[in-house]
Amino acid sequence: MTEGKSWETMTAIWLLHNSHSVDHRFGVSLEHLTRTVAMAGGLLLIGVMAMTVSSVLGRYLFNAPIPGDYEMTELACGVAVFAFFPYGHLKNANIVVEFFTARLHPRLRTVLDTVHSFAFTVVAGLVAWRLFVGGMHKLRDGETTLFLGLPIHWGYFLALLGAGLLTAVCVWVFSRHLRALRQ
Amino acid sequence: MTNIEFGGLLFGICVVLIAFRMPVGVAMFVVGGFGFASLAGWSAFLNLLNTAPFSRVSSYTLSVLPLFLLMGQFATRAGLTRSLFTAARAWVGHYRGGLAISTICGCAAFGAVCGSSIATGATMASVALPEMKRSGYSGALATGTLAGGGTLGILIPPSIILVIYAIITEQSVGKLFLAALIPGLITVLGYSIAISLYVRLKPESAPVAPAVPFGERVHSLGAVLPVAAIFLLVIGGIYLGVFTPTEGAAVGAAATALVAVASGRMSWTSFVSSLLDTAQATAMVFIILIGADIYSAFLALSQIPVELADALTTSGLAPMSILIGILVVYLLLGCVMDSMAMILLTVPVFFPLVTGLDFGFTGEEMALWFGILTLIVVEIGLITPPIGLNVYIINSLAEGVRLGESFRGIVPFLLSDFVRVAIILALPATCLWLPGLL
Repeated sequence: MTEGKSWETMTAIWLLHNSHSVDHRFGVSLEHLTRTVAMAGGLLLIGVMAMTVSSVLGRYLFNAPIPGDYEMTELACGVAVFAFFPYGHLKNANIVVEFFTARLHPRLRTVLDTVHSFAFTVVAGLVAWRLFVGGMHKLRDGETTLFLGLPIHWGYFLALLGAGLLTAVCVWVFSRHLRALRQ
Repeated sequence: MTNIEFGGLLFGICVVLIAFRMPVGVAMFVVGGFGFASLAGWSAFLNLLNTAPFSRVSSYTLSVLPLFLLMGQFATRAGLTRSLFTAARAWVGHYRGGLAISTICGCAAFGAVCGSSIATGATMASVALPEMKRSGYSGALATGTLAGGGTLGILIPPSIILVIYAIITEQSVGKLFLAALIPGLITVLGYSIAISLYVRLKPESAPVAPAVPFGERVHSLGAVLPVAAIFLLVIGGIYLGVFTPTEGAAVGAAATALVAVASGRMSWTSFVSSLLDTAQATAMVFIILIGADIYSAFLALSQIPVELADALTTSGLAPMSILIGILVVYLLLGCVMDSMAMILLTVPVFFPLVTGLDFGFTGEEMALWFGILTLIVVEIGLITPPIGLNVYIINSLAEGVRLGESFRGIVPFLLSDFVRVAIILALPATCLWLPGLL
């Protein structure tokens, strides 16, 4: 069980051989994009941290907490976590148990990884699709947070950006595995 | 097929998928989704997906996780590990095996600002491994110590796994943190005793280092102060209800960032990498949480936990044998599964069962005691062969140490762990006394 680095190494080797192809440029831009989105999520998290600290200080020092801080934390954290997913998947930060398959034939391992990256693509696509449907429902019902009245569909649609990008990353990773399988 | 058989079958499939390299979160999602859809229909499953994933990641109680992960990242960048290790070495380094004991103390102290086991072990390794190597420690002892010490990261609060347990079982995070404190200290003591015994049996594995003058010892404590202050502020504040766990984590992350900036080690580059590493760790945790959410929706629908609890409580087995049976199941599962996946897959099934056992405790006391016991046996899974994650990670950081050596080095710590589980089983007060004080 490791936070599998094998795929990363595989990509690195592959990049060495294909450094001028269109695919390579696509891979690099995908990595830049996921990194930017993850950074945006990270800054959002820093924002949550700063707001929460100010709210705590305000509450105890001036008897004036920031109104609706819990609601903002919830929405912001939800969006930030979805913004982390594409980067995490591209860096292969998924917990994978490698013990039982470490001694398998590399080709068989690639077959397994291909199946799993396909499953991941289906899951990510399903989540993104339903996030869209769920967001549309929230928009239709005009659902808002209790205290500040923030529209909940904002959170859904911002998270959808992360989920959509995650699906794109999944498709790319899957196509890489397919290619590795054909070689 | 009865519900229990169906659930057991799906659980088995899930474990097999995980064993065959499927990412843990995806496996739980796929199996849970299939189970849910076959009990309630596919359209109900799609409806569940409309809201479940976003509600999961945007819940206030769970927002504590990315903030604690951020705090751990800042602590790593602040160079706290070196000063903690140096301070511990100044006090206990001159005993035989002193560097190893210092490493354990350093890990415990770092665990007080970091909630993850691997981060604790790996961060401490960067400081302690070269020191132990230079002093002529055997590779087995050095890597075993770090792999074992790393488990203190999740035992000493704050602890990511305990937060997750608190959320599944609807317990107070503050009380669970406090309940883990004495068991954490018992671990430090137990590991130190294990090291002392080991180096007496194998004196060649750890040469003695010269003692540090008293003035220097006192001086070294200065570096420990910020960590102690942050720990007291965060854990004390959460426990006393000064702030919620999420607020505590935010305050802790901000304070740790201040320490990092004050130490002069927080450049823009290290700020960016701490955010990106937080992103990666958070994504890892939440993919599993979303999968587990779907899986537990299936479990709830199937009524398996209730039926299993009924079956076992009417079976006439003694409560203690049922409890020990559960812990053994965890130990076995821990050999093949990831710790968070284990907690998420099994606690929803075992928890109702355990709270139904009569030990003469209130429901809350039972939840605290069981939580700490579970945490400890799950954490043992991090260092048991064949897939002790900690051992692999530390071993990969240590040059020229074979994996077999590292697994041999972990044996004294494992033995000490079993003694500790026995102590905590026999004396529930080790977990219950502190949270009961207020």
